[in-house]
Amino acid sequence: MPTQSIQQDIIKELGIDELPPAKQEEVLAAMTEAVLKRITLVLLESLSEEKRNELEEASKTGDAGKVNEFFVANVPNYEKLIQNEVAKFKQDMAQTVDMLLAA
Amino acid sequence: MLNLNKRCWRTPPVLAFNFYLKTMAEELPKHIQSAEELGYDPGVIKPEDFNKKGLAEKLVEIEEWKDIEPQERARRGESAVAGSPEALRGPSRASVAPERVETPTNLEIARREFIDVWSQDQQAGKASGKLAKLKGFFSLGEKRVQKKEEIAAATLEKGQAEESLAVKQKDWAKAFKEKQKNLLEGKKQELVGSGKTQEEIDKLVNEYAKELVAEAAKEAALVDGLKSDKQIEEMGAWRKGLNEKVGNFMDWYKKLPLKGRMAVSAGLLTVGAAGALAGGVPGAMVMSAAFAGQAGLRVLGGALTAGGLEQLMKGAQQRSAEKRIVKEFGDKSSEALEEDSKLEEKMVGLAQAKKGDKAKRFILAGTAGALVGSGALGYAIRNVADWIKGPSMGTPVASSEQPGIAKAAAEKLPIGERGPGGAIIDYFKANPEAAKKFGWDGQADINKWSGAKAHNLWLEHSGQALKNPETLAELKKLGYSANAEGYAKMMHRIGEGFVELNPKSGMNLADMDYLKAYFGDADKVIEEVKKSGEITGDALKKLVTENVKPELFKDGDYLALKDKVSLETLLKDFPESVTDNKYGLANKWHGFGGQEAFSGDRYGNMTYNGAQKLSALAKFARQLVDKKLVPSEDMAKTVGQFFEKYGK
Repeated sequence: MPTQSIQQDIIKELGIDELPPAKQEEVLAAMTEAVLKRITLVLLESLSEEKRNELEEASKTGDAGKVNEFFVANVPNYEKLIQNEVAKFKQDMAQTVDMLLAA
Repeated sequence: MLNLNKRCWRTPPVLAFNFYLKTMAEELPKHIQSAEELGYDPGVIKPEDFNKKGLAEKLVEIEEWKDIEPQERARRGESAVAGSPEALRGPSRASVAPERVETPTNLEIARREFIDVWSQDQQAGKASGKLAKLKGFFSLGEKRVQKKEEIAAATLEKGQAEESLAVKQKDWAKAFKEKQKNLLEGKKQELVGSGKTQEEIDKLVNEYAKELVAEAAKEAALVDGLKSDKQIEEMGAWRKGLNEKVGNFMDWYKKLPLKGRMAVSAGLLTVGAAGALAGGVPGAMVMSAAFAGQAGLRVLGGALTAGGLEQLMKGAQQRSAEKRIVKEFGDKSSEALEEDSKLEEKMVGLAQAKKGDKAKRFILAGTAGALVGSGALGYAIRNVADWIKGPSMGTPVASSEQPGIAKAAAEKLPIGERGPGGAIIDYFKANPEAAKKFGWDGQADINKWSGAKAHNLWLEHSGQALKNPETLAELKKLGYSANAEGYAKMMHRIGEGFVELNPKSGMNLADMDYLKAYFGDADKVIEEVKKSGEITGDALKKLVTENVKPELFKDGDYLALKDKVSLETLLKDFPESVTDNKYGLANKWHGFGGQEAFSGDRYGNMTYNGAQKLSALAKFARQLVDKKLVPSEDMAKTVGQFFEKYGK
């Protein structure tokens, strides 16, 4: 899809296309920053100290395949782990926003 | 700040440099002393610190520490050493804090108190949970009484913490609402004084109200981030490594400009996004590059696994180091640097040699790069982006017809150990406001109502699903009848999946993964082997291969156990009472305190879904054993060895 088309779709579908661009960006950045913390925590938390060192070694090589292999071997269902964390995040966010707006 | 004599910079470079070192050595104790008065902890200063490298490091450290606002230091209650993640990390002010004021606002106070109480509630929950899990082991005499008392105390504490949490959450929401109300009122007043008609004012206020939805979303994200911060803070010393990694990563992330943060979080650096980050391309373009797709992330992310990110950070740190030099010596340094390029190199080199910079760069690049390389973070962010742009969050303030985040709630719930119905019931019980959208009157017992509603939603869904050719094909593949009963039975084989809930369209199942698809149909294998007349290893291997999907051998839970657990052990850990009773596994899981029942060396940190898979595998093995299709000696083999012999 052409760049401009993707860009327009995102902004429109966000439902914030009438807001100033800075506001649009703030919402996305806020959400992603929060989920970034969760993802980082949940992935690294699932590894032992020894495994975290191994992860550093794997990432040092610059080989994405090795990093992938590392996660597959050491974090059972790691994509699912993230999927669940994101799902939990979304659920928590929806609940919190509902609560804030309903207060 | 060093009070260097301007004269020294006009002398020949080498002499000037020596004089600079001497002056720094004289000035350093004064710097440390003044910083100590503000709460700085210099740690142990060794004699070898008083060389050019050590002096530069220490000065830079003190200046960095001073850069952290006193108010922020006081808020954290720490005398942190500059440069440490603890010192640099704070709430996500850069991107999500609405504003910064000298005196904390009511909202900031309420938010902080809520986080503190939330943390206490978490701690109380853990304590209560741990004791509850132990209760079964203390059944006699004084120990039992003592343990009961401890459990009662922990339960009471948990109850009190929950009450406090509810109060503080309410206060926080009220403070947020109050702030938004004031903003809206201020906007109205501003418009009233502008000479506009009431209709124009209403229209403008309505538009402005949309921004309040955005504010609520930002507030929710901010508090979620603060909760994560709190979790990091409260980790024990043994988690220091994790603490540092997360802290460094987030510190780096927060220091990026907005467009940089968006690039990182929206796709964590495709090449396009990385280029945009370095070149200062507008945020929207960064976003479009970041949405290029998972395949792009995987391929391009590899190039950035360590090197790409490190280069970016190195550049940023070098600029930061240069700034520190300028700050340290003011105009005098500029003058001197113009006079002698070698001196410039030395100065920049000194600042860059700051202990930890290299390590920090590596850690950041390593952690972030690892996540990029795996595609995992990209996957997560893509999901969040999909969600934000979809109709999944928030209730409208001004209009129920607003698109995107302002649309009415439609949820995607992960299916847990209690199946789709349990996921729906739990969701309604935890979200009364959402329950109202599905018809709860706010009066009836929500526990009973949730159960009945979940049942009705299921019946409606089941009727529709059985008209779907894909569902019928799945039922056939897994050996279930193509009717409501068969469909309900198939639910007990859910490995992973989601319930989609929508007030208008009801429920649907999405992204389903049924366990039998992994482990094949043991009955079918047995039946086929019987038909063959003679049971041979080869025949069994052929049929197992045909009926067990190769995905099994790539599954994380399988890989974690394959070399550790024998078939005998598996059957012992997952007896028939667990595998043949449809609630058996759930009962065992909860009866022994959840995960602990199956954790330890053999299974690691297994999830319930992992246990479901192992349970299915154990049942499969049991049937083969019962029919004497597997020689008894093979039961001592590990699961991996078994499948090597009979199916891989």
